[in-house]
Amino acid sequence: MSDGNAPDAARATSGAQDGHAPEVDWTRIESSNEFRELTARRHRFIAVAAGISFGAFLIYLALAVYATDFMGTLVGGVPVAWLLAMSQVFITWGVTWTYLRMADTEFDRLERRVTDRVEARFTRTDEPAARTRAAAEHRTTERSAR
Amino acid sequence: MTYVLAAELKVLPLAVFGLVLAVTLGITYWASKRTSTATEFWAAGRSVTGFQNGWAIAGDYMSASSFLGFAGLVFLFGVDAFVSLMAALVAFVPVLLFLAERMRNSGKYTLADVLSFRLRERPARLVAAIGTLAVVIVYLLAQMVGAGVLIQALTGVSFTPAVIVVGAFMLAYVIFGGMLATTWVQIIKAVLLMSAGVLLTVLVLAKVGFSPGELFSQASSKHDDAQGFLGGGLQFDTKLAMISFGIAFVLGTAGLPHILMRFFTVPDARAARGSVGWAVFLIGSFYLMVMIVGMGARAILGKAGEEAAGTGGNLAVPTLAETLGGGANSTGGEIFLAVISAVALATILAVVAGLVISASGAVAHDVWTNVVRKGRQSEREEVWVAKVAAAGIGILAIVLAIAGGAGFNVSVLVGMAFCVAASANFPALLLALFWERFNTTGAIVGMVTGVVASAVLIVLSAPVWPGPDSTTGSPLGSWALDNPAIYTIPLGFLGCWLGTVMGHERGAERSYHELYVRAETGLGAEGATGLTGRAPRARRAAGAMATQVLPK
Repeated sequence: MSDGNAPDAARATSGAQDGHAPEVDWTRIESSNEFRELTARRHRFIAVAAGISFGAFLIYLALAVYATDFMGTLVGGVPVAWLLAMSQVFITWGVTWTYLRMADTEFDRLERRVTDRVEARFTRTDEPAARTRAAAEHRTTERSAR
Repeated sequence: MTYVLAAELKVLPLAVFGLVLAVTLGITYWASKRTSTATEFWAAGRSVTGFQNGWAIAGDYMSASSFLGFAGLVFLFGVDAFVSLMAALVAFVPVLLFLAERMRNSGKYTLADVLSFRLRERPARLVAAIGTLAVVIVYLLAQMVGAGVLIQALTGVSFTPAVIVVGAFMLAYVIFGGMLATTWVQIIKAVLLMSAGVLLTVLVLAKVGFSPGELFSQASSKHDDAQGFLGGGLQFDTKLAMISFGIAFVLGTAGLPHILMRFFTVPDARAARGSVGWAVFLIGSFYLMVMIVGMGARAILGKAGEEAAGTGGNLAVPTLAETLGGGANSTGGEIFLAVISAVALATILAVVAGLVISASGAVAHDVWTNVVRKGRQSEREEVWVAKVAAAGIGILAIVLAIAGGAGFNVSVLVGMAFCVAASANFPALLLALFWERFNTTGAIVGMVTGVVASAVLIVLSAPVWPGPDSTTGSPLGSWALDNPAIYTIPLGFLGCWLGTVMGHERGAERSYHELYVRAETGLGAEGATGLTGRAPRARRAAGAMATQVLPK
């Protein structure tokens, strides 16, 4: 076996001999503007979302560990510890919901720009009937994913 | 060890148990007709919808320790236990943001698929299988021992037969019904669990006139240290222990093989992320209810309930249910206790089934198919080996659970599972997906470091060293932690980095580009073959493109 000179996964799943199948140029897709815009936007969002979520949790954890007097203070009859714990749930829900919304509205669109471009370059066009059926199935999947 | 089959059987809980078991067997029969290929066995034909998978993740994730354990900890220690609950929920943020879609896009059945995509296949799969099995077997053992103790307390059936029955049903679901049966057992369990949570929460709140202030004041007045109960500082020995525990949960979930495996059951990345959304909603709602129920147990049962609640407070919720239903020996109390016990049983079954199927993936798909047979096996052989592997792991867990008996410390085992997941599986997965230079040596050194460091530090920790029931404490003194994740996670990452820098390997960076593009876009992702789903148009066409390069 070669020592990692060829991508192992491609070798493992592929029965095709080298030279028969057209090699996809992944680095070219990676350096395309469409792909870069997708990853730049998505990664920036992920960094912010993870920062907010982890930051809020670390603050809560720090208070729970070091500020037990403050956590035990009653506000309207209930301890601050409970209010802050509940806020963790709401922050997690908020971050999740925002990411899902951004993914549906923005990242999916950017993703399709990349995949469409590749599709145009590498695949034969399907017959029209198959395309409409595939599109209908696409909508079903979208609905079921909600 | 007792050879009595049962001390004092409780008929009603057993009857409700029987009902739950009958329903799950029916599902397994239905699923067995639809499970023959490898994709059907491990990934339910990728036909599970995002909504269904969200419920199934909730069912896979929330073990009896989420339901009985966390509520029991709230009952015993008050607000300190909220930290564990919130850590266990926040844990889904990294799963959503870093892993869910990328796993679905680039893997097939196991987390080793993602690692071996760009690393040297055989060593990467082997080390990933070790990471998976280390987590799964320890966690499975914890669940089996917990199940035995719990069933004994709830129904009167002795520990050994209880473990055997749980193990037998777990194996029946997995071997005959594969992932489809496992999924539906998990969905049903999640529905039962949420219903029980709502019911208990409403009843508890009704007792205090729907006033949270009243609930907290009654609960704290029944604890010796009211200030600590509401402010914290009771549950953990040291501040460092509490921080380490929280971090282990947050990062450990993202390395749990049975949770990550669920993302391969949906048709595409969109459904994968949607399922995390549903799971976060369900688990968050449930944990909000657990806080109320745990506080309610303290307010209603009081100090007198501590004895009935047992070690770790695991029986606080069943005792609370009995009291809310009208008390011991009343009809309402017995019915309530029986229902809650059945929910707890369903909870255990769903989790252990998920664990066994992920372990069978590691043994059959990773080690047998791709390391031993190097992909030359037939599909029938792969499924057959998967079932044999499931049986082997299940029987091993049953034997270990019975041999160790109730002597195993369940919370140490659970802590170890999360610690290994956080410090071995999570760093390697994250770096494989996001770090261009990462290579095979890095994965091996990192994962081995994560597993070994977790095991060594846990063995040296106070509850384990130098033996059970000893009081001399750990040789590490106050630096020892029951859950050493705060040491081992950095060690795991450090191992990955050191191995990468030291191992000179060509090719890993090249295949990184392919993995990276595929993970981010879903190009060439494994398509849905199942009953309902089909890959979206773009993916399908791209998949057709990719099959020229990567035929199945």
